[in-house]
Amino acid sequence: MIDWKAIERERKRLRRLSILYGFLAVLFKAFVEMYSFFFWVFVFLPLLAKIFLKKDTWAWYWYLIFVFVFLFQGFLYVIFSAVEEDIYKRWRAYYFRHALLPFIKSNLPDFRYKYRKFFSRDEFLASYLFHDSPFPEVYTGRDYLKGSYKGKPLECSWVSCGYYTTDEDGNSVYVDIFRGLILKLNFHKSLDGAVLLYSDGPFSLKGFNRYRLDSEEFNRSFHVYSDSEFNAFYVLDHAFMERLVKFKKAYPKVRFSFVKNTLYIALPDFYLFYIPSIDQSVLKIEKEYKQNLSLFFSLLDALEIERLKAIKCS
Amino acid sequence: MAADIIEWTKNLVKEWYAWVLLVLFLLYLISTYNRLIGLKNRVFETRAGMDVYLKQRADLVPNLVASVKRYMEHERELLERITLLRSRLLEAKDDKEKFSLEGELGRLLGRLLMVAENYPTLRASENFLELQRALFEIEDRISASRRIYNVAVTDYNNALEMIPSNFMASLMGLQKAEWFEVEEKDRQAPNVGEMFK
Repeated sequence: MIDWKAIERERKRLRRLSILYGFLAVLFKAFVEMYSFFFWVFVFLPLLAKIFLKKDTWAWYWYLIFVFVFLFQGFLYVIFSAVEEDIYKRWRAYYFRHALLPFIKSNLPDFRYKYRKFFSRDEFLASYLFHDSPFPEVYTGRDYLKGSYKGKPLECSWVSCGYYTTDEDGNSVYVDIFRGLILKLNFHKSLDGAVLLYSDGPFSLKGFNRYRLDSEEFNRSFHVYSDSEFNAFYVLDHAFMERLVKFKKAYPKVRFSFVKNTLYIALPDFYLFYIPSIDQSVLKIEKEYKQNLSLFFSLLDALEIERLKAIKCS
Repeated sequence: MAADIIEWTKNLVKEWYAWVLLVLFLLYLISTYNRLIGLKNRVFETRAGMDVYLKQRADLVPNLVASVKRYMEHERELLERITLLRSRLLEAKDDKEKFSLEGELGRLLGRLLMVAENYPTLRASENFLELQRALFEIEDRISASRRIYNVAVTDYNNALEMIPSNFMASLMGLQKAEWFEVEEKDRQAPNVGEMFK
């Protein structure tokens, strides 16, 4: 049982500390900036005058004092900033240990969770889920889950990736490719190629052709790409197409890909868990996690993943 | 009257737009001809793809019957029907008969595997399990290729019936292709994996 109220008390305590140290850090940063201005005007220029014009000015003595105070304030700024950052780290670690892990253990007993692990970029590319996008220069993730649901093994993780391009003015801008949850399941049919189902498009994909299947409703819901027409029809039988359409109605931006005997699902803008900011109350988070999990499992139920029987393929 | 028509035609031949129209008409005839030939060839091509898997299934039947015969003494009638059906398939005269027999064979094989559930010793046999898995895989492949074939047949038959390509089709003497339809009960039968959940 998670004591959310105790976690909220701890959050408030750490938040007060973070405000205090944050204020001190900002204060000394301002001093440092102010001093650097005084240093140039009242110390450094007279010092140059002493060196080059050989005039004895008062600046030499002040110079040492200014340098000392300047360095000392800079040192305090660094210390207070580090303390403030440490408080954030302490909060994340505390929340992870006392809220997130116990929540996952009690709500997902059949799953193993790793906060920092995620699907590799190579796997992301091999899934062809975003074959229409450029190479993801920036790639990160978290929240890796591995386990089974209704006897069916599955893996998922949150992934965020994108690339840099230049806009009309020549400025470098970051473009998101994907930010959301990726699921990986064993599929009961083994392919010697890939079949991609995109809910948006149509696109011209290298190495793939677009096919229309024998279900008008399905064709309206998805753009189907594959390296062979047979693979598309082989993977997508009528019953499965109906389930995929049901899934899409529940989550319109979904994408699927079938590669060899693996089914990948991309759910953009979807996440299961997150560690809240120190400024955010934790009292409503449990409800949010539960809503996310409920949607997640209702989507898997729409797909009837227990019917995707893993068979040994010769 | 006839002289008038001849005179009108002679005058028309002198006009440039008449030649443009003639060329356009010829281009249309060529493109329709090519489209119809393309659709017809696609039916043959998809049919050939489907035949590969139907043959694989037919080849699997003797092995399957042989492996279950020892265990399923009480299902002799069913096994004999399957064997008979397989030999009738080889003698089928036209597509309609062949497709009907293929549908029936698929249904009986599904039933055979369903009945096999009542024989625990059979279900424990590694050979039988391997054959069942192979059959399940082939049935999926037949289903996919049958649907591709039916899509090709639909496109082809539509072109044969729709105006104006139907005029060209009748001039070419093209005949409608046969659909490989499977009744709902037959369609479900091959999903033997579902029966052993």
